[in-house]
Amino acid sequence: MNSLTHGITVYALLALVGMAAGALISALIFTLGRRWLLECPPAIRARLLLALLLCPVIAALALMLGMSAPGSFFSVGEISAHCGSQGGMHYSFCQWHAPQITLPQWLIYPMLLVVGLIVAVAGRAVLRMHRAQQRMRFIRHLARPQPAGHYLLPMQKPAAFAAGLLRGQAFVSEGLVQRLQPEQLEIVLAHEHAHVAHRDMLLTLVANALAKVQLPWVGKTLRNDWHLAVEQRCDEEVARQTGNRVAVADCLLHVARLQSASYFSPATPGACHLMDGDLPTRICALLREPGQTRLAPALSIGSLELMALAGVLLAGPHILHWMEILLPGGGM
Amino acid sequence: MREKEIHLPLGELEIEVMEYLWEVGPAEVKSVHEVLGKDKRRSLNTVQSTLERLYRKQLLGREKQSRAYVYSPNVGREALLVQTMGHIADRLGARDSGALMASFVELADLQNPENLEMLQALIDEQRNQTGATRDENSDE
Repeated sequence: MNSLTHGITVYALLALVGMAAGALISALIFTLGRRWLLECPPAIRARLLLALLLCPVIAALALMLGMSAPGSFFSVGEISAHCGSQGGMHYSFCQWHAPQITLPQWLIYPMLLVVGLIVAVAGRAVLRMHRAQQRMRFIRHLARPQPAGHYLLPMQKPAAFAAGLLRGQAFVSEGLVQRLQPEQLEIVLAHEHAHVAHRDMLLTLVANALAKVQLPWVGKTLRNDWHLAVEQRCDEEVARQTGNRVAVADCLLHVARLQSASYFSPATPGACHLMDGDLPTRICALLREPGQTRLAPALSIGSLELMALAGVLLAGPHILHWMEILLPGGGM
Repeated sequence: MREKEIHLPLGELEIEVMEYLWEVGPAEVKSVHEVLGKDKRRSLNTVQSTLERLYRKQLLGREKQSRAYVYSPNVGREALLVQTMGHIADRLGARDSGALMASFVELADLQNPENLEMLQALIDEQRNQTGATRDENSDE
């Protein structure tokens, strides 16, 4: 087995174990704290959800970093000395010295297969994103830039959205502009510009990717909660700017009615196969007074996350140590 | 019926040709070249091959009149835009489309018209309450 194969196998194994540990931690915190999380102000909720989504990746990186840098922050007492060069009695993950005990073949091939699958899935995702971005460029090409900083789409169907990963732009269709009062158009554009200012499209891409390494049911709910938090954050910003929460709620409903009439006809009920929408939650939140939001849940969930991450860092050397011992042929 | 797959991306000249034909309607190669080619030093051949490419992509139709082909758009500008936006949502999955597009109101939210009525009632109620409070304050 050459050192490259050995390195890839070991890193893949640690990444899998780290991600599994991180996914369990975020699932536990999310399950226990979701009720409180939903009471947090949307801007803080979005940050906390992103931190939860990041948990598996951080745990995996912590394990891989600990293995790559022996003698650094991962050295805790006697556990730092588990390197083949120091006469360890079991298999060692140390990448700085050649292992004295090699990994079993049955472990190497599945790990290489896992790496291959990850590369294939990532490649496919990049290709899909590339094609979608080409289509977005086409839409931008047909749209006309406006002095107010948004793009006007030459179409009669009502549509408004923000698009673009790094340099986002707000788009609104001619049909929607014609059917909105000037103050409603201001609300729509302010909402889309808020998405652009926060780079929500890029963050959503990251959040969607991170949701895929969570436990399946947790990942889906985390992703939906993230989406709602981002929309509500933009709603809240517009409500603060205009000083009229009811007007923002009314505008949301007005656009929903226009789109409902335009995209759905009685002949095609439920033509859109998506999941339950967030509109009722967004409108109800806008109809409540902003003073009702509470910061206490955010602080407790934030400290829970910090404690869990500290736990991963502290447990890291022990996880590495036990993995080395438990590997076949590596027991003491 | 399943919609035809549109082959994107379109090049700059391809988009210009589509825009031109959407504006003026059916046209021969010569008249397209007259408007889009001469000022930008594009040869007749370049414009002709662009039209041919768009025809192969099924975005244009053509009909032979006397000795020349007359090209016309197979798909309207709005239909192409709507289809392209739909493709983005389909390709990336329902919620993943948010990665590229954050929509003001999601189409998912519009499935149940009864919900819209209920929400309207809530908004009206809130507006009435706010109005009543404002009146009371002004009376004082």
